[in-house]
Amino acid sequence: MNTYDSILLAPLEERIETDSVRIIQAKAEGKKVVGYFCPHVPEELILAAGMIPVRLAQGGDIEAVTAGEDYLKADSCPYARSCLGFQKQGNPIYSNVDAICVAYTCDSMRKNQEYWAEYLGVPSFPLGITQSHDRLRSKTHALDYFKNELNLLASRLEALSGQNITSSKIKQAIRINNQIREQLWRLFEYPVDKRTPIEWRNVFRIAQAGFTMDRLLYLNELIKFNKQLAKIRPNKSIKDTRPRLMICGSIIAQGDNKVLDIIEQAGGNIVADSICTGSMFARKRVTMFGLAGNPMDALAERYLYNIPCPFMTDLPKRLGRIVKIIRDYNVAGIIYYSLKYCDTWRAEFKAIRDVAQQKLATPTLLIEAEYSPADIGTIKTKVEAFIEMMEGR
Amino acid sequence: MSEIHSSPGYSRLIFDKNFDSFSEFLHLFNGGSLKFPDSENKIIAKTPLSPPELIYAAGGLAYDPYTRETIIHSVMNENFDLVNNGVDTGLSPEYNPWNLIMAGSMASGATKTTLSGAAISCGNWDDQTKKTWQALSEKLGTPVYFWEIPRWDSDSEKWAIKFLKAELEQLFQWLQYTTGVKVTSQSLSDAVINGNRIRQQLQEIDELACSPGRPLSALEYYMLHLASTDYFPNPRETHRIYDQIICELRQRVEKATSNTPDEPLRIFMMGDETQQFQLFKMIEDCGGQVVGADFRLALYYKLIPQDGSILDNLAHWIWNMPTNMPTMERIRATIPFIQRQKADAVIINSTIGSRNLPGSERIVRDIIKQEMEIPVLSIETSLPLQDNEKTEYLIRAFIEMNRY
Repeated sequence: MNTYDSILLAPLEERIETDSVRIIQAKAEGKKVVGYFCPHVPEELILAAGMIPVRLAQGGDIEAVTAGEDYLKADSCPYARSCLGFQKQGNPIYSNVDAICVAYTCDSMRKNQEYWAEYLGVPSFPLGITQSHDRLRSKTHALDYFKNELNLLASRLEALSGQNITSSKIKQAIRINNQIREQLWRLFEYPVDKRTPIEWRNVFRIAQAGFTMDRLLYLNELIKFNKQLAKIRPNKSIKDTRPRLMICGSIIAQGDNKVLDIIEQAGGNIVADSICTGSMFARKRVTMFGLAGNPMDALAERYLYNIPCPFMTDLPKRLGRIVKIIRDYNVAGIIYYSLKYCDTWRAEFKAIRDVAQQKLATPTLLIEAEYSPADIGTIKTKVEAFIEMMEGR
Repeated sequence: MSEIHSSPGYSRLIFDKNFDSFSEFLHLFNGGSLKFPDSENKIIAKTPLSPPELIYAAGGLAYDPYTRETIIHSVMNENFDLVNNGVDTGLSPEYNPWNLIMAGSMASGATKTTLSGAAISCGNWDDQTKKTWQALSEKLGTPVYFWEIPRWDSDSEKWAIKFLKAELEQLFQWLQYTTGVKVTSQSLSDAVINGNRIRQQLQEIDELACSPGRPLSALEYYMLHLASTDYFPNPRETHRIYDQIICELRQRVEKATSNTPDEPLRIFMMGDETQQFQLFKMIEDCGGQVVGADFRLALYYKLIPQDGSILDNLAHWIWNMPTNMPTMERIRATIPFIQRQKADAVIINSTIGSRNLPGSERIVRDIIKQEMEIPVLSIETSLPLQDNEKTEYLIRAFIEMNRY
């Protein structure tokens, strides 16, 4: 196992502390901080408005979940409950945002937007996003609608920051984020190789570090880190023979380590993911065509069509993507992580399991979990049995 | 005797035996859900709160299996095994029992209805319905078409309406492909005119339901309310039966004596529909009168304008359906109806497993308390035979506390 020297791999508590200090300092200097939850919100617009984007994606904390139950019922997804709970508890990042942008994805996130606005007193900007557009682009009006919603969001962000969002500012933000995506994607591609110098789990940590880090600092650290890896790659890594797994399903928030730890302890080797806090951000650039290209068009195209979340109805697109990942990463089994009460992901388990089995003979294990430690024993038993089965194949 | 009358669930319910036109309504309801009448029209499934006009304009028969299959199989026949069949289609056992029973009924073949397709509206509510139909389309191979209502925001109106009109136009093309009948301005206008007649009747039923002397029992009101979802078996028949019901109710109101010594607590029901139909008798036994409900209010909150561009009118009307609005706007749009029904109190029902309306329950409760200054009770219900003791205790205490 390799060890690395990078602030990107700092423990979560350390990172929250560092980033919250930076955020508080920036606020004292007059900067504004804008939070968002789902990756459908183009943070390029927040950057272009001269504000600090932070992705509010912490989880795994049972106290935050309980605090969120003042608003959402106990049978709503624990991530959604904790989004409210962290703010209520005074989490240093959640309680320092000046506004939030909420993509209208699932029921729980829509309710979150309402409670943040009405009960937590934080200005919240909803972003409409279509659900029924398809990969064949038979609904051309979906892109027009989303573009208009992005323009509305931009005007709301301008009003908050007092700065104009110009095309050149958006282009600059796109450039930075595209470079981040490229650097991150390079990391996510390493585990394709059985002699990878870095495991997926560490790449995942690095991806999550980007949720709250300063964008330029993050980019520079990613470049440095990739250079480090390029040096150790040729000779120092050993071939990994553990069963190669893909993790797929509901959001795995920062701090929600339970299932990942169990997999690791059971001898499983996650090499790929299809989760919105993992490789999803990195997988596709914002592409502008030529110098005269409209950056809003480019953002709309990228953020509407390239984030395969199951609140959208185009299941075949998601299935196709998952099959491709299984092939590209030589995946032997899928761990399907469904947060309890996550209605959208849970309903796709069967379709994904069936396709993986029928097309590639790849088995899938369903893990349903809350943030409480009560289910650790059950999950451990299931994961161990699944991995044993993989090893016996 | 028809199947519904011999079902175990029916025998547990106490209907108003002197309500002749309602008996006919029940007969019609039963026939509709068990044996769709011989018809050359294609049967197209819909979701509870999408306007049936869209399907009738294409010469189809609108059918809401969410409501009808659940009432027949769960409430009346008490066939709760269908929940497992629903889970077998890929749904989570944590889904609400309306979706599970519907999916179970369609997937297991318990349904007597053969669908030609399903035109499923999706929007900013209820992920479960959308995912249920996605799973069903995989399981049944029935063509399912998703059409979409964009989120409500006064600043988005211009492009949201443009989007919705484009969605409706594409939906009509799909319906034409499925039913073989082209949707024209004329067919759409005719469908809207027919639908508006039923909307007027539903508004009138609401008016009669809140008349003194309790002319309409809560259970009957609830069933009339739910059945407005698809104008089964066709708008003409629905209009005819509602007409008879209204006539009979008017006669009852005329005969009713006012100033009864024990005035009931006038209750407006909100939230999720319940499969525990006994709830309504329970409310009455505890001294309440159900004077209105918002379960299907979005379907008749106002008439669809008939002048000008029918597509434009329809798009605006759909976009402004209360169900499409964020909670604050939805409740502010609903408050005038609660006031019109002269409600003394509100009961909000959450169906266990449902996450849309229950998710915003706190907001609903707080706004009604603040803006109307009337008491609000939140209850939870599930499948019909679930233990009612706690609910009954809550309702009794609530009514006793607020009645005098």
